[in-house]
Amino acid sequence: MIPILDFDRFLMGFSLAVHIILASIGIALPAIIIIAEFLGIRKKDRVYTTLAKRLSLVLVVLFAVGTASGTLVALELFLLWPKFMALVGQVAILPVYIEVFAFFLEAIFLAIYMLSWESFEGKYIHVLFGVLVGIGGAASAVLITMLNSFMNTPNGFNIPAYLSTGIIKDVNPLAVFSTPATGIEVSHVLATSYFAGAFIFCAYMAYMLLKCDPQHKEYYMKGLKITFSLVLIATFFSVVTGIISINSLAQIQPEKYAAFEANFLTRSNASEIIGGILINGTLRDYFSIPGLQSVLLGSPNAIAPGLNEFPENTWPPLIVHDTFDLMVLLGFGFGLFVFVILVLQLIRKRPFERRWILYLIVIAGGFAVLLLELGWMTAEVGRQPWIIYNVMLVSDAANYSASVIPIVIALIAVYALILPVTAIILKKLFRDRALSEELGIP
Amino acid sequence: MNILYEFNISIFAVFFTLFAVEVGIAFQILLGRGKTAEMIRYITPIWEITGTFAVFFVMNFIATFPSAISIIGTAYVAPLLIAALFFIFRNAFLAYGIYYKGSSNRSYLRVYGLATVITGFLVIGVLSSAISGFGISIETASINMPILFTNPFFLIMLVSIILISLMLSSAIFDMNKKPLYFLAGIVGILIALLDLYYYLNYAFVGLLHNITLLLLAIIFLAAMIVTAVKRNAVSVVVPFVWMFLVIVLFSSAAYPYWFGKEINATSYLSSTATGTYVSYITIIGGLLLTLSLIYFVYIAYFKSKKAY
Repeated sequence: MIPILDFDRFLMGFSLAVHIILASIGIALPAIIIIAEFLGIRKKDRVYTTLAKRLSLVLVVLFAVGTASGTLVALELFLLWPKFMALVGQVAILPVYIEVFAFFLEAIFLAIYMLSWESFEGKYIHVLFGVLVGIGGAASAVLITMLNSFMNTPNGFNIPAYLSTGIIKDVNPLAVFSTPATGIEVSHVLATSYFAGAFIFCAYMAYMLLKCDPQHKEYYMKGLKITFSLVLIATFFSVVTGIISINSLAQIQPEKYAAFEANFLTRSNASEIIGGILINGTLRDYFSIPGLQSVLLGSPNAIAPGLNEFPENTWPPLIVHDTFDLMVLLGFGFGLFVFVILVLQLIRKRPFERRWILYLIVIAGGFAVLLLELGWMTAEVGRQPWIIYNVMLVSDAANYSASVIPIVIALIAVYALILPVTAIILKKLFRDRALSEELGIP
Repeated sequence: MNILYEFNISIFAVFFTLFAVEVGIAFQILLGRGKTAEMIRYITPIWEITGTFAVFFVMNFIATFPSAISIIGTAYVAPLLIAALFFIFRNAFLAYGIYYKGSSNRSYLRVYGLATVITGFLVIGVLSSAISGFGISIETASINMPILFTNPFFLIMLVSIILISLMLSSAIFDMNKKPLYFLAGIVGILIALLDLYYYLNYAFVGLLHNITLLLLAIIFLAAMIVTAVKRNAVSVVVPFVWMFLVIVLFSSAAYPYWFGKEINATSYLSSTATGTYVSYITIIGGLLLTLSLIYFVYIAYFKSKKAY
């Protein structure tokens, strides 16, 4: 019999796994639309404006599903982890509370943006509405990540007093905005959200370029160039913030860091351990690069924290070592891929006209989503068994109501229906709206 | 009344007003009555905002009554999560119905209607239980689903809200048989009062003592009946104001108790400095939100030539 706690975990994990894809699209897509509309006005180019119009329809349909999944996640936080939210409500609710206003900004200005296409087409004020949608989406991500940073590095109340008495006192509600993890975590989440969201559309544009009529080539090429530009910037920031994030983890969450790196012992001149399978508490079949881990931490003698410093019952599941390695591998792979395309573009080799590159971009679209999920999974599983690091265990925060079990099954069924139906509807939507007509091609 | 409590009631009242109108529309769509196109023109810009108000209420509730989360979250997990699942259907199928103009459009809207009605059923069930205490055990923080959804207080409240929702939709939209809908709505109000009188007498007494709000609600009800004859901007706005006043009136009448008289909610109010900041944010955010909503209403219902 699976414990109810695992159903709670699965329900939350599954809902978040779906939601982060939709949320990343919700963050990146407004940026793509704004750029397209801006270029359309500036260059008086109907192709860009059509791109913005058509993508805004995608945004609104995905926003509908995304906000529903976001609402579900918000409710799950409160229903599945009531003790956690009771503490958050007293100490760290402000970012989540402000996030509601960011959500309003996004919802209200998305409605205004869509409704005012006719009235304000060709005017910069319409782009401004889009910018507000984009700000709302990005602000939501920033504010929600602040709560996650609090979960990783809690502050803002008297933790020793809480641990000994269970009473929350000396609350500083503003401290949640500046936990040790906030800056780097927020930057990394934002960069990777733009990366994954933009890459999905980059892959779509590449796919359509491979199969479209020649008369529509310009439309998809322009779409590909905009999305790729965003991917390029986001990749750079994702890699930089990712590296800083790992190094800061060694200071602020050494236990999590040690699990990521499979460091069983604290040591200097530490090797970088890559891959491997954990069998009976021993890592096998890995390969290591001597001294590299310490070098990455700042110097050959830098001390890499090990799991031996922490009680074994608080170690995260060591599967995170493999998910972490896979994430880093994919991250650097993407960095290299994007760099190669950039170089080809700079030396005028026209990379987007090479079919093999387009195929690679399409395939990479799937890997971009995988990378997003791996990053999220590594970060969250790496905090286990804590829901608030060193303050509250997941098992202490959970709702043990057995009624969660059928809901888990129902939720999987609902998403299994909604996500493909949404894809079919979007396909039908564009099939019925002839691109040639919108582009003014006879 | 505590200011945090007042904010919470006001946010709930805005959400429930928008949602009650939507439930009325969902019923009309399900029954195939009413002028669907006109209703869709109303719902197209507003439905996301209704949903966002639901989240706003939940977050404000957590910030206002943090120590009550353990009881409420644990007890109502099943009906609220099921409601959230139907909320996903509501969002998705409304979006399909609005943006996809093919032959399946009507079917999508029917699914939306059904999902909205079921969400409403579940939300009203939880709400009535939170007010009356039927179907919940505070000691064990658990619910009895059959009792929750079959107790007389809930059933009467459900019928009353359905009748009032239908009256609201007939007042806002150009519909035939308006007198019949208004009659149904007035019956709905009367049975809601009887429900309160028999099962929650302290709230009924509280209602009569809140003279200002009671008078305002009666005046706006009269205004709604009078203005409904001739449709204009006022006749559309008045039903919303009336519903908002009614929700505030009912919520204030039950103050400060939850679950019958089992819990005094003020004992769960945020006692940390967080509560003060939540008040500031609600005021500043609320002002910005109001300004955005005014501009939104101007664009959505006056400036825009057509729904997108």
